[in-house]
Amino acid sequence: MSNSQLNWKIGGEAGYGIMTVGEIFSKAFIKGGYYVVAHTEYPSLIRGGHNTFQIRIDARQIRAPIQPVDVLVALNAETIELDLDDLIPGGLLVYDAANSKVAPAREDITRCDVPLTKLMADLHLPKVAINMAAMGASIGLIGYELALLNAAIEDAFGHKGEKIVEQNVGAAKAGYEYVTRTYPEPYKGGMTSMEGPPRMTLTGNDAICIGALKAGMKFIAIYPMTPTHTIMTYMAAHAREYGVMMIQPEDEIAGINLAIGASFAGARSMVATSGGGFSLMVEGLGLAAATETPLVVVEGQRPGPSTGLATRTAQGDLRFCLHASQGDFFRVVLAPGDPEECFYETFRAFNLADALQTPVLVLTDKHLATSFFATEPFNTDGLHVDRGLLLAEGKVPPDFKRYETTPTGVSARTVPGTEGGVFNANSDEHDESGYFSEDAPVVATSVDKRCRKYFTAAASLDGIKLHGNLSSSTVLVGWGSAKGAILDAMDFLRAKDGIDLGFLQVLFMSPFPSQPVKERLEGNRVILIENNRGAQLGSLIKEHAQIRPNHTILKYDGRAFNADELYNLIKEVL
Amino acid sequence: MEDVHRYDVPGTWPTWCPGCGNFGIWNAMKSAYASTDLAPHKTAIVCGIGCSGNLSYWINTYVLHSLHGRSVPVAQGVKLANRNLTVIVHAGDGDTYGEGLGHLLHAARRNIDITVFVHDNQVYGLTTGQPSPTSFKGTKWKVDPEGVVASPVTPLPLALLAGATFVGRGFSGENKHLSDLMTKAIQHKGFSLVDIGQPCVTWNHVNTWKWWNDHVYKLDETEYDRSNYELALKKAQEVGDKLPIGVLYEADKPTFDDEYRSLNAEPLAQVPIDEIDVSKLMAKHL
Repeated sequence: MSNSQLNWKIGGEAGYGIMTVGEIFSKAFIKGGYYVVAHTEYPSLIRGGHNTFQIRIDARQIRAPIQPVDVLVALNAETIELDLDDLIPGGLLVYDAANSKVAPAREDITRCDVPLTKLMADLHLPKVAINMAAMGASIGLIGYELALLNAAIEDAFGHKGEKIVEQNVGAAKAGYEYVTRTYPEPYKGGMTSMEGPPRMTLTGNDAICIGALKAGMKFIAIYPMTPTHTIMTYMAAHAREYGVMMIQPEDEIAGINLAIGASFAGARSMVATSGGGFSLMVEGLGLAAATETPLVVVEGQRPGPSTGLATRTAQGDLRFCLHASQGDFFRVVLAPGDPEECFYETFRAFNLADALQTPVLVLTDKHLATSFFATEPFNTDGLHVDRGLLLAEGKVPPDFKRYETTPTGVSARTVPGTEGGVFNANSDEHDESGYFSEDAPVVATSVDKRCRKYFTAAASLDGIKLHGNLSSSTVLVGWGSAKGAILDAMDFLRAKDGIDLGFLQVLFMSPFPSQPVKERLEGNRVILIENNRGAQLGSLIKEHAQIRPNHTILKYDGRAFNADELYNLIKEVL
Repeated sequence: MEDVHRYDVPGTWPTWCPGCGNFGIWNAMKSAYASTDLAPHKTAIVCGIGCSGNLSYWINTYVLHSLHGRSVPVAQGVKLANRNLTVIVHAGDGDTYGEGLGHLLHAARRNIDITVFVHDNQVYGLTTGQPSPTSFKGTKWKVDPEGVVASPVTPLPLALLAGATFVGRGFSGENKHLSDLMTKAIQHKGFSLVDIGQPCVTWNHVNTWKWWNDHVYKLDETEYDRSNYELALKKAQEVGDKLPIGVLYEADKPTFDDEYRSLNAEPLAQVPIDEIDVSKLMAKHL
């Protein structure tokens, strides 16, 4: 009887490659047909501190972390002090007794002393390779396949050359061989790889990058800020291949204005930041709206206010994104809940920005942006780039008016270089030609034109997803990265309690899907689940659908919901 | 015959105060555009906010009338997306040396091929006369009745130190000279800054037409080597009784776009994007 699920956690100080481990260990299991959710917790430090990667592995579909771990790998003594309580009774502690001054205080676990440092010294490998040895030892202890770990190591280090791959594979092998000699009985009967559809080891940020590249984004300006900084890393690696210009501006203010300039000139353009950087971009957001210049903004949330918690997660910027910048105007706000939605919604964001000629925000958070999820390859067959009312050379009518009043609020657009299409993209209020105007009827007409886009967008977008039991009279409501924990908590409720609930996921925050939300929630018991203090989606539902949730489950400690935690919280209110 | 009227917006006339220095800049600008034969549809002008930025209404090219202080980043974005365009900024001293000073220095160090014309009247005009970053120390204003305490920003040495490859100063009262200077700045390949002195006849009672006429002298009427960086740095700091106008520095250096040119044969804005294959990217994650 083999084991089909495992929760594995590794901890150590920064500088010991905990981040690298997260991707490699996840991939070793995803390659073997497992579902994986891997998230990292770390303080805002470069060296030292307590960094962990926690990897939940299951043969059945999972989408969120759970807290109790089967295996805890402690690369330093601090991990034993801080995380030992997470181990389930009978779980394995992997540690190097030579490195640890403290004896592990629990008797109900199996202590696996693996001399990681000595093994590396014997092989003349640098001490940092203990992370590879620890993964190899873990594979041995849980009775999984070393070849799959090796394959994942090769994927990660292949670009650095054969020698580096060999060293890392050698380190993993040393850990593996030590434990299979010393602890020959695999944990819970061992784990085996399975046949299944291939899946990617992917973060939300990776998916956003692939979506943006597929959409033909050609210009991206990013000032580094956690948690969207890995978009920079990804784009830097692929910019040349995809003919993309990535620029690191002097600040986010310059970033958004560079992107607006590039988009005005005709290139699909994007910026990515977190709440603090977006605060600086707010003025530019209004410029894009006033001049009706397409723009995609990725906002990866982290806890605020101010610097807040630089490396933790939250869903506290929803209202901010909906209202950022002065004056009445319409922006689209999309809130994907997993890497798959990050890809498709980012692709869609570029089409919407062109179709509506207004800013489109893609709202994620640190948990979604940087955690790894097993994700099936995206089907790109149905994806078509649509540049909206962009006039090609020779198609400009003689009486061209850039800001012509139209029933949709959207008018034909030209870009510099197009003959006959000259206009003023004017941040001042303006008439149909772009010429400034303070004439009262002209002003009202212009404001109406831009705001009319809300209804144009609302008419063509549904904006919600219904999950689980469609006829359940108790409905969970949530958005963004909370989706994973909600779906997994529902699985627990079904399996453990025979309770089959429904889940309304709100994907579009603007235009808000008032009618579908109202239809699903009216007359039913509503449990609102959000990663913020202010129940911000709840307030939108009250505003747009006049429905007050019966219960709210809110978490705002900088951490995402664990599925087991959320299961218990839901049961408390059921 | 150069046709300056091709840049006029029919049926409009500037709303600047009678006697404003902006008229001189506006006329010199059109002459410069005509002498470089700029096609209106291949020219993108990015303006800031203020009396200078209002020029955006009276120029018949593609224009983005942007935000106070942000015209330089917008202009860089336009140029990076389409290198075939001529990209020119018209902004004020509050715009460029106050709110946007950081942007100016970063643009200079990138050496992106744009031209920045700063209409420097040493005052905030549209908000009724507050001192600007270039107002002289000690000058008195209704919001600064004891006199400005801080020293003025010195944009030209700052731009030189930051890496600008073309730096000049003009005066709106020397129209032909200014037009020639603007022409050279537009023709220069790389980042160009031209600080243009202009009186604000309504609010600035220190730097008047007379003050300017008394203080400027033409560099090209002296022995001057504009390729000499050290000399330029010294000349750019020359203040006091005499202010040099003309090209202070010009150097031929690779632009940001030269470094990136291998990216695409075509400008970013013109690359076809209909059928982009991301299957290789996805395969890397399998």
